[in-house]
Amino acid sequence: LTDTTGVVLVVDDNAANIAVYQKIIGEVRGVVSKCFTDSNEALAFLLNERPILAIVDYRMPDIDGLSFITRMRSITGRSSIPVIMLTGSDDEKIRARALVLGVHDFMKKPIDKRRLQAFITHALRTRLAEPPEISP
Amino acid sequence: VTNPPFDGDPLPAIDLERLRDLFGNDKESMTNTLKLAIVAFSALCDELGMSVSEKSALAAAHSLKGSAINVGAVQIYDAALAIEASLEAGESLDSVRGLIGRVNATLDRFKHEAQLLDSLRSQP
Repeated sequence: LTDTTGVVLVVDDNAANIAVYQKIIGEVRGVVSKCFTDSNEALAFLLNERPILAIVDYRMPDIDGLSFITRMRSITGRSSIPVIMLTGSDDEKIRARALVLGVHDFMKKPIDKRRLQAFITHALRTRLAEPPEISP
Repeated sequence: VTNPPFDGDPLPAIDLERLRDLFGNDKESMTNTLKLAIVAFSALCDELGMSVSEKSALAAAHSLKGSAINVGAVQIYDAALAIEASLEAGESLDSVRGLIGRVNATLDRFKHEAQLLDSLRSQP
């Protein structure tokens, strides 16, 4: 294992939010963040990378968080990536749809630093416990 | 900052406890994030000011509210929340113009306090 064993994907159109998440994620040993303000660039990244966790804002200008997760899940090998959705909404319909898409947790802003770090640590342990991928 | 709006509100524009919790002693990351926040908030305030529909103003106010509270910009958060609540209650865009003016004033104060924090960081 190298010092860095996992990538956390962050998709949020606000650069100030991204800076906050980068700081929080950067304090967790063994992970690095890969952050995108453009959801299409994030989807392109997912074609080649399999992050241990995706943190996705619900409200984005091009596509909403649910549409992003739907598209992410359609990429081969990306159907089971754990997802945290950032939303201030208590709308049960949105939350129900998110759960159907496999969203593991919801977080409101301001983001709870320690809760997010605990989730990342858990996601990393889960990934490390998986059997290694076998190349064809 | 050309016009710090010290309009009698004694409360700070920035929640220092939130910044300490996020950044600890990493003052460089803190000031860099505040600079990014100023750019992001300014863009959202411009969006609010140029909104031609309640829907677009609501979207900008919601984004501003979330990003503001994330970095401890408590006055901007309060002002954006007031706009969001008014629009969700069915008020017209024209009726919230005064609140949009208030959010701009809180942005000026945020910039001023962020500059103060940056100048403190620069001191040996």
